[in-house]
Amino acid sequence: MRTKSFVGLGLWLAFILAVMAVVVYMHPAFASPGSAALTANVNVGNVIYLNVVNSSSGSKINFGSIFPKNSYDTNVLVTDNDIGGNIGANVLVEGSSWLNASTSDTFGVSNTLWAASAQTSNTGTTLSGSFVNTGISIAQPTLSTPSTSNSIYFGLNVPAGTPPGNYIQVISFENYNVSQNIYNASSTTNAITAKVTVPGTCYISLSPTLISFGSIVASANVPTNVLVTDTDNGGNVQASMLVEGTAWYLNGNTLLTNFGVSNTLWDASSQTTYTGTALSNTLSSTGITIPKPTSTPTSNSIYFGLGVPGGTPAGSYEQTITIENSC
Amino acid sequence: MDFRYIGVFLILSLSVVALSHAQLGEQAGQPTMYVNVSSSSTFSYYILNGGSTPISFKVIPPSLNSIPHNTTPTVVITPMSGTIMPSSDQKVSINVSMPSGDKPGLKWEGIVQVVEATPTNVTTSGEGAVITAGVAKLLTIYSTAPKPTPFYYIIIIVIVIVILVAAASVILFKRRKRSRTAIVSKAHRTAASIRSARREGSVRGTGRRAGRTRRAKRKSSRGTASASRGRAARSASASRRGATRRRASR
Repeated sequence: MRTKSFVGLGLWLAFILAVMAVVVYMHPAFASPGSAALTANVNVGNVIYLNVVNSSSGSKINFGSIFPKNSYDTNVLVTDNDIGGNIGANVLVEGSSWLNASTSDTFGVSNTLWAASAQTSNTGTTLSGSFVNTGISIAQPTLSTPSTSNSIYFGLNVPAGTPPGNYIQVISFENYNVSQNIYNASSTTNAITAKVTVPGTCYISLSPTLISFGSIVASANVPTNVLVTDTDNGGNVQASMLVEGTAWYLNGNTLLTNFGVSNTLWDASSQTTYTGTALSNTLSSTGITIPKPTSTPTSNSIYFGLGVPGGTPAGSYEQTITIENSC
Repeated sequence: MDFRYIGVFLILSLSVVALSHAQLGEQAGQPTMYVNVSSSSTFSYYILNGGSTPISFKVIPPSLNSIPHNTTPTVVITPMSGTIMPSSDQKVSINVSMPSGDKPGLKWEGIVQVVEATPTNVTTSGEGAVITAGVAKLLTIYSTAPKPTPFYYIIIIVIVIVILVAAASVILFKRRKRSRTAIVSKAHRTAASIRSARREGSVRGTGRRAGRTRRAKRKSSRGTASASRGRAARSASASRRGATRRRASR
């Protein structure tokens, strides 16, 4: 009898445990991880980013002060970054004309040069007014290298006749994947501003640099009609012409007291006679001006004549005439 | 026949071949310098080569006008010669030193010349006129009042300090003299009052009671005396103690 009751109790206990096991198994709170399947989908598209910076001044580059006809070597660095994209790209670049905002003076975009590497001279490809593929590539960013970049260098040539003043140019960039025809999706900085100051300048170029009065007998003269042309082929402001000379030297080294510098006359216009202002051995203003050059050179003329004093010994004589421009 | 004086003058025609045109240039602007007497100042500008060949140049310093009873300023220009490479520039510095004896407000002028040392486009030399190019600057110099030096400021500071110290000394001396006078007069007044008190004491009472009264008076007078009068009070007290001792001995 006692044995039967033990067996019954054991069966009841086994039944209760089995029910509890089923309840625990069925309850979601006791579900083990991975026991339910969930599928998540995401579509990562191709993207290119763009951020251009100059290493020292952010979105600006400064060429400083450049005289007309002078240049800046193509070595001003701009870095094009793709931060967070996932495909490679090429750098496209374009620029605006150089503009003086105060005077509205301009000079061409093509005076700016670019190159893929720093140059020690003003060489490279001329910048264009529309986007051009530079061929400079920016590597594909990856999970391990999420930021990639490449360099482009700029230089500048200031053309002759550029009016003095402060000029700016905007250089714009795009990153472009050619094979997938994708441009940069968004950018933080896609343009830089370039600056240059053009000082006032005048040049002098004389032609000819040797003049001959021919053969003259003593007490004779040459009319003041021997031309020297003074040309400014690169400046940007008006210049004044000054002149001085030395005495005439026999055979280039013997000074004669009666054949002095003042035997040479000069005039602003061609004369049919020996007339004009006596040349001096101190620099004197002629009153002749060389107009301000623009895109084309400007020039002006000065004429010389010579009188040979009586009693001057025969021989070859030489004089140095110095013509100077001042601006 | 003497051919030296035949009066015939011949200049040969020259063969000139122009290879290139030199293009010497200069930065625009005429320098005007204001220089303090006993001081110096520097102006700099650029000369340029806009051509394709180097230009050798030399500098001709200005011949300044002279002003009676004043020394002409010294002008030093650097460099005095050199070569400018094509499409480049050369900085020229003009340093002006104004002599110490010159008056302010004087004006000097002269021309600074930079000329080509040798014409670059001449292949033959000989007879005729050689035309040389150059660029010029009209230099104008004004003398201005001498700039105070640190020594000048030091002298001024020293003088001010001496004046302040002297003034402070005078004030202190006067105050001390006044306080001494006050002390002495107070001492005199105290002594007089003691003497009169002594005389009163001899009339009003004798023995121990009178002594106590006098001591109480002395104490109250000490208590109300100011610090400046302490010394006088102490001296008076000493004299009184002496008097007391003398009375005791009697």
